[in-house]
Amino acid sequence: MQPNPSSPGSSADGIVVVKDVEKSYPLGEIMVHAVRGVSFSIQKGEFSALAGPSGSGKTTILNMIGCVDTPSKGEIIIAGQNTSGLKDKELTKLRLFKVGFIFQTFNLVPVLTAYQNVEFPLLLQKNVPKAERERRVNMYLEKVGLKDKMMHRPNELSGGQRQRVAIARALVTEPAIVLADEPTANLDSQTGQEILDLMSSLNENDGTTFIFSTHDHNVISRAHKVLWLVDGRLADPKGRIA
Amino acid sequence: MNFRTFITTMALMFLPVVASALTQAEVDAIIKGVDERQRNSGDWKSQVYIEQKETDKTDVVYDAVIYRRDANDALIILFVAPKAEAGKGYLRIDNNLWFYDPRVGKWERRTERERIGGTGSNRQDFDESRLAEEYDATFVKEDTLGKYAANVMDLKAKAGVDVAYPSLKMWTDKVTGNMLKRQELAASGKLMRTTFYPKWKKAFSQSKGSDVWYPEEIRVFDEIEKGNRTTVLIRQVDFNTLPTNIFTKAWLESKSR
Amino acid sequence: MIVQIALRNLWASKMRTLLVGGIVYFGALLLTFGNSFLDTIDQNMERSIVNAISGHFQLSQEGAKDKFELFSMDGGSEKDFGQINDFKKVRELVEALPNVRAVIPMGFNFAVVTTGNLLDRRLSDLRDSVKTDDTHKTQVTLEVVRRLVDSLKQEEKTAEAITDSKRKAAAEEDTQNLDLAAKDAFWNQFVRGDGWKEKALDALEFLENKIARLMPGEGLVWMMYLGTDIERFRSNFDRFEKVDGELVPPGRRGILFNKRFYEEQLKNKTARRLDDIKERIDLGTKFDDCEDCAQFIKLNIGQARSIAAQLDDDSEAAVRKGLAAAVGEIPVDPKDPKFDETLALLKVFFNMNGQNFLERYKLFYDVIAPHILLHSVNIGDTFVLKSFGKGGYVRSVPVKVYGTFRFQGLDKSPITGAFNLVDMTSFRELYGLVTPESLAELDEMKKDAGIKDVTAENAEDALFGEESDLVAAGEAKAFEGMKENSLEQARTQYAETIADRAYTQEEIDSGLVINAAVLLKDARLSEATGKEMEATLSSVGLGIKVTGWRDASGIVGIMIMLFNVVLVAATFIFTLVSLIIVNNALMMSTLQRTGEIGTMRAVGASQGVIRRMIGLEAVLLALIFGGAGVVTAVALLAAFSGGFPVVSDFMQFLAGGTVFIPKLTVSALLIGVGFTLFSGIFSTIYPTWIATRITPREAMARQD
Repeated sequence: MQPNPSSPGSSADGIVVVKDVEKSYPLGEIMVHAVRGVSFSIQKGEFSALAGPSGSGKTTILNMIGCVDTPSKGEIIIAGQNTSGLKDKELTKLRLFKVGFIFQTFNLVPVLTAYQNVEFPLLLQKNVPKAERERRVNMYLEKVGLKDKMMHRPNELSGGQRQRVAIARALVTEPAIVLADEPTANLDSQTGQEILDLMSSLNENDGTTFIFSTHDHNVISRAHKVLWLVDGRLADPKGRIA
Repeated sequence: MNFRTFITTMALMFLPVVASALTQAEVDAIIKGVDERQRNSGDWKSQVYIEQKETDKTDVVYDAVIYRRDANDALIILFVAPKAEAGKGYLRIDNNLWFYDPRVGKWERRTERERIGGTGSNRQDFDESRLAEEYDATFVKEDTLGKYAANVMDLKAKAGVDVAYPSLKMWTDKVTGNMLKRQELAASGKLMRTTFYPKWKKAFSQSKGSDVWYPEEIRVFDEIEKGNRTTVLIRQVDFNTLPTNIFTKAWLESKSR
Repeated sequence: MIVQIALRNLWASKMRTLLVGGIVYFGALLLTFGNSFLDTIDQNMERSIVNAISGHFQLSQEGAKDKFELFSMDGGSEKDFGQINDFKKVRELVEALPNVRAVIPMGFNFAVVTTGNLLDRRLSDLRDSVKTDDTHKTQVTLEVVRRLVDSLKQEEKTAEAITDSKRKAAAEEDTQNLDLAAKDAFWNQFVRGDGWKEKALDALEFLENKIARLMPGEGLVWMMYLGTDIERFRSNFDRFEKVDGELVPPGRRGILFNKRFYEEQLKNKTARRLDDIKERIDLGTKFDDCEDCAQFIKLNIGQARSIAAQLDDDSEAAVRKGLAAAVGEIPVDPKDPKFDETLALLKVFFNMNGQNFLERYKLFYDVIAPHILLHSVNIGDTFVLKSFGKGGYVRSVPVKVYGTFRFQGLDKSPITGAFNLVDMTSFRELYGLVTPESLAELDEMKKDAGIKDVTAENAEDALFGEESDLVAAGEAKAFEGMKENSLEQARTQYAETIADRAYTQEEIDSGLVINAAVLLKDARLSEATGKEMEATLSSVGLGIKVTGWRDASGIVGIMIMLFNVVLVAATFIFTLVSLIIVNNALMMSTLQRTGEIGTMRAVGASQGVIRRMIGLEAVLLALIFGGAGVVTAVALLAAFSGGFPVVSDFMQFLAGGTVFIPKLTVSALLIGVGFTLFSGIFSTIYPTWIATRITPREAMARQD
């Protein structure tokens, strides 16, 4: 797949639509403008990246897409659902059903086994019968190649293995989008490659939409779409502000 | 200083004492006199009134009749009032002090220190004065008591003598020789009572052939429980001979049967 | 799953779990066990007092000078609790109430028991036996008297030390008198023959007046007594138990000694000391470790003479025979003319040690005790009670001793052990109530005498001042003679002494009553019944105050109340402190898991889920450890169901018996469980509040 430059300004329908989103928050007495008016859309099945140096606002935007944060201005629409005005409970629900998270630091629950960690979101969903849960957990653990380690706890797994578990967890709910915040940052380059390969193949085979926040060129080079961010605004690859 | 000055100083120091001090003989005479004035060789009967006032308590009051035969050192105190106390009494004989309560119907032994009827008075307040027999006296000083000039003496009980107060300090009137005041101390030196004799009366006794003096009024002040005071009034006296068998347990018992 | 996560979390951080869990465990255990303990004590004390003396309520005069108290620490005779007017009516009214079992009249006072010296009492016995021609008794008593007199001779001081001639003569006379009393000729006056009675009585008078006063006295014994309707008292207070002798026949005058008082105050000192040693051994003290015991043994040896002197010929032989085996050969000193074999035997016998004490203790009671005066007052004797009446005059009343009693299980209690029971009639005589008539009589006497009061401060001036007259003027007043009828009452008193009749219930209920105990049928209704009583009594305007037993118990009630207050305060403080600690620990651990919680939130866990998870941890912790604490407490109580032995007098009062058995009470269990639940629930509050505040964003932001 050839990387496509973004088409800034066009707000075509997609699985994620970001419209004129701004985010500011106070830091002591100063107002920090993390995001200063950003609009874009992500299509279903895309393997996209939000790229830029730290402080560029990419994590903030990712958080907002993930319903972990709310825009100060503008709208975000996830799978047809407008997130503005939603209360915490509803946002949480949205996260639970529509969004999968993969963190930089894996963030597995230490007291649970790999299996249980992956199962966790399904339990939160409440109405998933046991048989179904079993099926899915097994399936995704197999997909990330950790079926034989599913009874192990995180402290018994290597970094790469943990990240795989995290990926399985993110996927088990079959969310609309999977958000990954610097997923390879804490891995050595070879493992990082493996993880990327995994995610890439999931994307190709299952059509899962991935959105990365990264400044890793490996990731960027694999993305279908790259959205460059500088100082809270979208820029074109060459660094010009749109 | 030189010898002359020394002697003079010594003389001057002792002179006042020597000048006004009484000789031992004089002291002894005074004590004997106190006894002698009150002595009656025959029998004695009197009506007394005893009143004790104690702080925060109701007064304890008695009318009693005293019978004495000094020749035998015998004494009876018979309570006749109030009604609830009548019939109770003391009998002193052969150095024993006995107490009788008709309600109990039995005799109890008491000691010299017995508070008569529970008041601040003791047996000796009603009995013959035997100071010369019981005590050794020494002169202390001269003093004034109100408008009276007095001699002050220390009296110490003789060895082996059982008295209520082993040590006394006594004021006697210089003019009449009557006892005015006594401080009564325990063996430890603790002041127990201060007794005043403000009124003396005399009555002629046939058997004695002269007057018998008696304190019409005795005022006892308790020095331990300050505020407690007992007054004894000797209201009437009679020196006629008493029946022979009167100083026995049987006689006193018979009064209440 | 949340339960599993919660449990797993507790397991994962073992230190924290154990620390916090430990506190909850300890708290639950302490509170359950401790409260059971103290609840049991409370119940025991209640039974000790309510069913022994106080009843559930006490009635007394409203507005009396002193506040009514059952157990005054300072001499009860000084206090004025007023009196119940018309007890008969009060009893009728109150006993009519459905929940009231009985109303018992009462009054407290102190008395002095005068026992006289040993010789005086024996002489009194001898006099009685001579007067009544009792040959055998005369003979027996005579022997004892002679021995006592002989013992005096051996202790006599020589007359030489006295310097005063007359007193020296008196002392020499004493010696002569004793010599006279040592001669057979003197004692032969008691032998029957012509005119023996007169001679005997003369000899008695001689002994009483000249010899007996040489004997040292026994001393005074202070006694506290409760005047009451003894028959109704004993049948209504279920802790009452007769020990020796018999009960006072209904309506009769008499006294029942409290067994403890009887043994400790009225017993022969040698026997008492032996009893004391035995009691200590029974409680586990080793004889050889006991300093007091050694002291007692020394005193017994030193006072052996007072035992020897009480034995007549027959007794002496019996004692010698009985002790021979235990004591063995006594070295005889032929050179000493005064050598007394029996005395030497006794001295060796009383020299007891750890090995032979128990054997000799038994021997003392089997062999020696029957021949001596074991108690100053014997059951069946009549003795004189002397009280200081309210008016200031001393009242003496003879009372017959019918027996001894105790309050079951409270033998050693210093509080209930002090009460002796005296019939109501004797109590009234001893009380010395001041009536208007008696006051009027005193006033008239005082007026007649007309004394002006003089205080110590102004004595000198008032008596010897300017207006005074040392020599009274006028002739001495002639003796008027005493009014004959003044002794009328005395004669009535004496007749009273001779007579010995039973008093009717009417008479018992109709005189002076100071306070009254009210016993209920069902104690649980006591609050309601108390109000009923107050209403009934106030409606007839008798001026009666109703006091609950705790209030009426004065110092004891205060003690019980303090116990309870301390208990509640301790419970409260402990709960508070442990909650704070638990809360803190949980809060800190929650903060530490910010990341984890944030992640869960990010993954889709709602605030409710987080709340439940954190809360569950706290609740599980509390339930597991708190539950274990309560269970441990219950197990401990079961293990101690045999009870703790009572080692001190005070403990017995707390124990309500000879063994203290702490029982699990419902309230203690509730407190323990309540603490557990409360700490579980309460300690979730802050941590969950914090946890829910953690936003997923924060959690993720941290990871950057």
